[in-house]
Amino acid sequence: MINTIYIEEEIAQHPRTLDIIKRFPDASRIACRRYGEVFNRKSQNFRLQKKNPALILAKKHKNLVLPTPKQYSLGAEYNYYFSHMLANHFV
Amino acid sequence: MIHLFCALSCEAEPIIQHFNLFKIKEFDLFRLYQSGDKNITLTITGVGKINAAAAVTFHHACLSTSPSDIWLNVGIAGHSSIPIGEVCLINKITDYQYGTTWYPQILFEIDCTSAALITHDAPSSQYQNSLFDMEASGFYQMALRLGTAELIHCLKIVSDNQQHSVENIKADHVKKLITKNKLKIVQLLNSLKPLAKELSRINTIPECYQTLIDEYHLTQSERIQLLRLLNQWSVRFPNDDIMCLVSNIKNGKSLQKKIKTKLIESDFSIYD
Repeated sequence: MINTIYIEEEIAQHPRTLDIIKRFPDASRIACRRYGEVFNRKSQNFRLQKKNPALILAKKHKNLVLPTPKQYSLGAEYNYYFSHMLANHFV
Repeated sequence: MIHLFCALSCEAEPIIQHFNLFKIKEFDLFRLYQSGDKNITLTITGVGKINAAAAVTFHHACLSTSPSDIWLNVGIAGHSSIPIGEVCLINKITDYQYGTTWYPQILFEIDCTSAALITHDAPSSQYQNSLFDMEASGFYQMALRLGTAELIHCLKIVSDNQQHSVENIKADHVKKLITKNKLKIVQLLNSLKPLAKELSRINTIPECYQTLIDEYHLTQSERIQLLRLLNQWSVRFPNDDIMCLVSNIKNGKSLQKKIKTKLIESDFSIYD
């Protein structure tokens, strides 16, 4: 269960943000400027963090898709890819 | 170990009494206290974030600290509407002067309010919707360099608000507020102890490592690889003794090969 939700101020009133936080009525909500202030900071311990993961709602500003290197293309003229690594809960 | 920090004597006294701490006489730049078993220490930092940061550094220099230690700043704070005497665990610290923000990681459940706090350079009676104090940013910033984020926290007890201004705060009143809430402090420390224990376990070199490097001839690089394999082993097979697996191994290379093979051949899932 999610106990803490960090929300970027810029998207605090975004309909999708409101929709997501409605699903966690008991979670404490903490406003942040950018998700980088919270996520993967120095001195954090990954294994302890995994004991009680928090949800971060953030806006992805650019590089929504990235150009695919030539050797990995599917043969079309323009090829792009995206990574799920950081984008599981991006609004 | 548990490291406690209070700005004022009146904040520290009830804690010193509760944990039966005694003063360490050889250090006099800041007042340092310690329990008989040396597991709990307390430093009186003085008022202000610079004093708080300096006290954390001094505390670290005088007493040996480790990344699996618990660091806790206990003190009083003001708020516009939270009633006096309410205990708040801080989930966001903002330095008013520089605008820098930190987010203490609360990985446990605790029976008290969780709130944001702003650290000011001087007492203020312009109450806001955030708590405010004068030490937390200095304490947290410095403790973060020495400890682990999940084990560093600030616990504040509301001492003044719009109805009862900061000018009316007396030492006796502060002492009463801390005394009344000392069980909350103990409760918080008890919630942090399992995390500290877990971290200490993660950072500990497995017992069999020394036995194995004494028994087998290994280069420095092979020792590093062996330590990595032993750590993997302790995660994958916490109840199995590795010494049983490697009892008949003749040399260092075969030792690593045997452990690697066992790790690779065993089924593994990241889900419970």
